[in-house]
Amino acid sequence: MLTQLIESFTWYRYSKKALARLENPRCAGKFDPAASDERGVRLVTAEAGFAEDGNKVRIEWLVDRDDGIIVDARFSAFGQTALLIAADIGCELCISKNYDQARRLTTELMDKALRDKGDQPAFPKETLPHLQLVIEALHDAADHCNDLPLSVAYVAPPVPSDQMAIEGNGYPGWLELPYQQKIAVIEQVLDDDVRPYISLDAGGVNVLKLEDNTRLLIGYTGTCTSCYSSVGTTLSYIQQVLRAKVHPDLNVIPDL
Amino acid sequence: MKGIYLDNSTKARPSPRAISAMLPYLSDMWGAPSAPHQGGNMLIGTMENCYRTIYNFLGASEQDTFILTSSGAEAVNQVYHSVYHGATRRLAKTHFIVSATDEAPSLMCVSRLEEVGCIGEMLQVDPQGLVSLEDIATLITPSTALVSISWGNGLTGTLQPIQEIAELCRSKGVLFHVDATHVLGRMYFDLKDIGADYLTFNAEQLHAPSGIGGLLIRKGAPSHPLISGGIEQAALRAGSLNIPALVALAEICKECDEHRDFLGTETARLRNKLETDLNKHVAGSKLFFQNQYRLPHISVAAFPNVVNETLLFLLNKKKIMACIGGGSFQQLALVMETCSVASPLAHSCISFSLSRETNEEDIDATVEAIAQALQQLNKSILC
Repeated sequence: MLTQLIESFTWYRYSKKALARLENPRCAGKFDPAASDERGVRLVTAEAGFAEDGNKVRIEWLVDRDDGIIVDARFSAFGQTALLIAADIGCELCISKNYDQARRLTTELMDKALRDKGDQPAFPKETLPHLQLVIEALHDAADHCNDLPLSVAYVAPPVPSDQMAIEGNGYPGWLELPYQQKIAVIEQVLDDDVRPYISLDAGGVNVLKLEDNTRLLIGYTGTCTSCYSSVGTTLSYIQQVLRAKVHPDLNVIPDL
Repeated sequence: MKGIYLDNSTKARPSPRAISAMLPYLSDMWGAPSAPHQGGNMLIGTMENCYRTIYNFLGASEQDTFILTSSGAEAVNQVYHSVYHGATRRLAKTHFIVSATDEAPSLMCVSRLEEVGCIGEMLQVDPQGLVSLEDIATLITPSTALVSISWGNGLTGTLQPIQEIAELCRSKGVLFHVDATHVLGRMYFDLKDIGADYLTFNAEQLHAPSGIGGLLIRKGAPSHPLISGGIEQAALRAGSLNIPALVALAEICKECDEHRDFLGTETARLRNKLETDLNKHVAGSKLFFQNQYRLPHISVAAFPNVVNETLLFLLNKKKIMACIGGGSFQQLALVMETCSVASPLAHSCISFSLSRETNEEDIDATVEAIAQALQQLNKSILC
């Protein structure tokens, strides 16, 4: 209740990253239909909301006709600050993803992408409807792409098949290491055996926390944030590598 | 506060003169006036002087009752409380009429009365923001207890035909409340001509320190305390009388009298300059209520294709403070929609309220900042 007594206007509760986007949006604007045709990509336009309600957003994508990858994304809006920020981060998170991945974006992922600190929301809770409006527009855009094929590799893990058989019994003496050194070992394994592969698809993975020496919390970045396999084969691969090269009891839990 | 402040309908900068006047009563002259000893009695002379100044400023008769309150909202609540106990409970008059463009306290008081069986009815306004006498006459029934109207609207500047409404209410035997917050100190009037049963105001808009409001009750109108518990203020508001606030308010009344001509001329000129310059330098801007009798210090402008909250954010970054409603106001977009402005345009409106401290440089900087902000938003604007 005390926090409600001293709650300020939404502007003062946005994260610094969100505010920076409001002043310098990266994805504001529109595409030229003629130029899109020349590039051989599909221009997809989707809208959500109503100007009569004071909040309407338009999302535009340039989508590769061969694999459904969103090459570029832009927005325009008649709306409040929260809608502009949400539209901007929503567009940026779509770039390099395919339309199916874009459809999996959530308001939480958009919020996480703009947080200054891990547990401090970037958007005040009352602005959630604006984020939902952007999600609605993204779904509409994805629906306009349903006829496009997706890459055959989309549902496969982003690692070469000859790397899948991983052997090892863990890092000798890992349990006795101080916490920071344990994390360093995990980071090294991720650098060597995971990140090079998932970065090929513009994805990334971060170590968030290790609990009880067995529960490893990770966070995805880039295209991994809404990838179909980020809770399937990719996760399984990461866990397999870490069990083999760090410790056999490790359980990897994604913070989605 | 640094920056350009054009939100004087929400709060105006506290007057240094009023603060100086109240200071001795915060430190040296601090007795409770209801106390029997000298500590309280020494304040009676000050009280009498202050009350006389306030009565003169309001054009009140000594037979009327002035209650010092903590805000305009409290004063409005006391009006509804008085009418409920004096007319609704005693005479079974359960019908309350309020303007759709009124501020939150009146609207919310009606909502609360509806919870106990009363009926609230909202008067619609025309495109000029005016209520019509015919509408009021049609709505009034034998069970109407109160008509409540804000004389001047703090967001739009429109002025209602109060005198005619008062006459109508009197002829129908209906009590009449006027919220005069945005009119006091800006317009000349004689309360005898107005004829309202209740007049309320919040003094923050008159350059008073925070926490001061007032309620004037015409002789004979029902009056019941909202805050019970003592004999203070003719037993109509319990709690030790806030002498520093009373002193500050009296000083504010003097200042308002002194500055009223200035507000009607120089401030009105600057308001007109703002409107002329927006027309000239901000393409597409649209101004409202220009060709009517209105308050001299308020202007509403729309900036199509941009939502007012987003534009205000960029103006705020440039330390220019204006108003989009909210707080004790309604949202400006809702008020403008009530005035028949199309919905998308209504969401683009910003209200600017000037004060006697506004100067020409403020207006120039504001117009330039708006033009720059719109340019900055250009890429993200949906057309």
